[in-house]
Amino acid sequence: MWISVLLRIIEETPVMLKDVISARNIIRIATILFFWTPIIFLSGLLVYNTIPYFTFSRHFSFLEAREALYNKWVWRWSFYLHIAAGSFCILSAVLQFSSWILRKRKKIHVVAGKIYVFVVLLIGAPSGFYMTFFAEGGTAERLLFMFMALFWFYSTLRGFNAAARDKDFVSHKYWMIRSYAMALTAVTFRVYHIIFYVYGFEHFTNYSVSLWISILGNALVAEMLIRNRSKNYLRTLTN
Amino acid sequence: MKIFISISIFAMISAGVYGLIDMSRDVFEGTMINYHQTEAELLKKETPVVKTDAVIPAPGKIYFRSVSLHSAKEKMLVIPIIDPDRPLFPDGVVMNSEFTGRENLREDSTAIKEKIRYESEHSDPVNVNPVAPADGTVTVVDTVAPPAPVVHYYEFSRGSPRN
Repeated sequence: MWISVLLRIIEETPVMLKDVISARNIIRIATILFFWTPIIFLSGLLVYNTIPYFTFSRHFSFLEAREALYNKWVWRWSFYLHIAAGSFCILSAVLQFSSWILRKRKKIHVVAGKIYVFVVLLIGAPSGFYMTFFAEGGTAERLLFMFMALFWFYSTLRGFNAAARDKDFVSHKYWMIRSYAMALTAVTFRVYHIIFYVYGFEHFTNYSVSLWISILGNALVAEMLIRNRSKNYLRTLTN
Repeated sequence: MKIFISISIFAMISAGVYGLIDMSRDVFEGTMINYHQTEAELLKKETPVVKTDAVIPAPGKIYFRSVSLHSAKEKMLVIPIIDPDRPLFPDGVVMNSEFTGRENLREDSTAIKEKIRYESEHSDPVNVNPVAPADGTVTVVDTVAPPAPVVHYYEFSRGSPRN
């Protein structure tokens, strides 16, 4: 019996190999290995690094440098709400782009999506928007942060409306890609910051460059992905 | 759904309006946070002005506890003394030395950090003696807790400065 099974496997192997090494699968595996694996790992790391802040101690270098702001209760609570919301939405968003979950476990997609939308629209974006007025950097960097907070809010709202109200799931997908690109700037910013630190950039230069590249770079990558998937790119911006 | 969207839009607008008011208030009161102060500016601002003729007795390093810097408060600035005859406090503030690179900061800070922390916790902030003794010690200025900064002394090794 075992021999017959083995023979059958051998018989089918060329077909399976052919399937596995098809161009489509290679792209899929490469995407998982080089795109999603680092993103999931870095997102997890980011969330892990925020955990110590929930001891509510002010003895962290980030908070000590912002002592004057920390003394304002609005800023202080915006900060804690923002990092809590950020952790939730980064973790919930990781599930949202899995085609397997979307096909086989749609309920997970819906629940995680609702958590993401709720957290972004009601907590993450408003608290972040308030904090942009006191963000590190010059006026340009603060304006960039404001753009990010507003666009994050707007794209999430459009994505939510497209699915919940209009049942336009294509538009929903495109707007959520834009929203996730903004959410992911928290991760990419830190990656660039470490890279430029290694290359010896002075702190403020490093900060500004990393910020601009992470926000505009993420937005650009999102638009490129959408452009490649859509037949009429301009319509994705209006629909 | 409409209520949820309305609340979230209201939250966003409120955050913007309150942020603008809060920022304007800080600007008019002169309390707006300024991240672009350099490390040297912060050090100059918060280091006590002390007039003295003290001279570094030999090449070495002065270890400064950092002034709530953007990146790591507990990291110290390590300032090598290039010229052994250069006055420690030429114009009242130690600003004429050059900062070392970040590698040196990391390399030198760990051991001194514990020592400074211990000294900070066990020292009398009123007892400030700015004169560096001539027995191979250097001055460490604690600039972390204004308005009563403490000047400490620590031993340092004689020899040529490591840059």
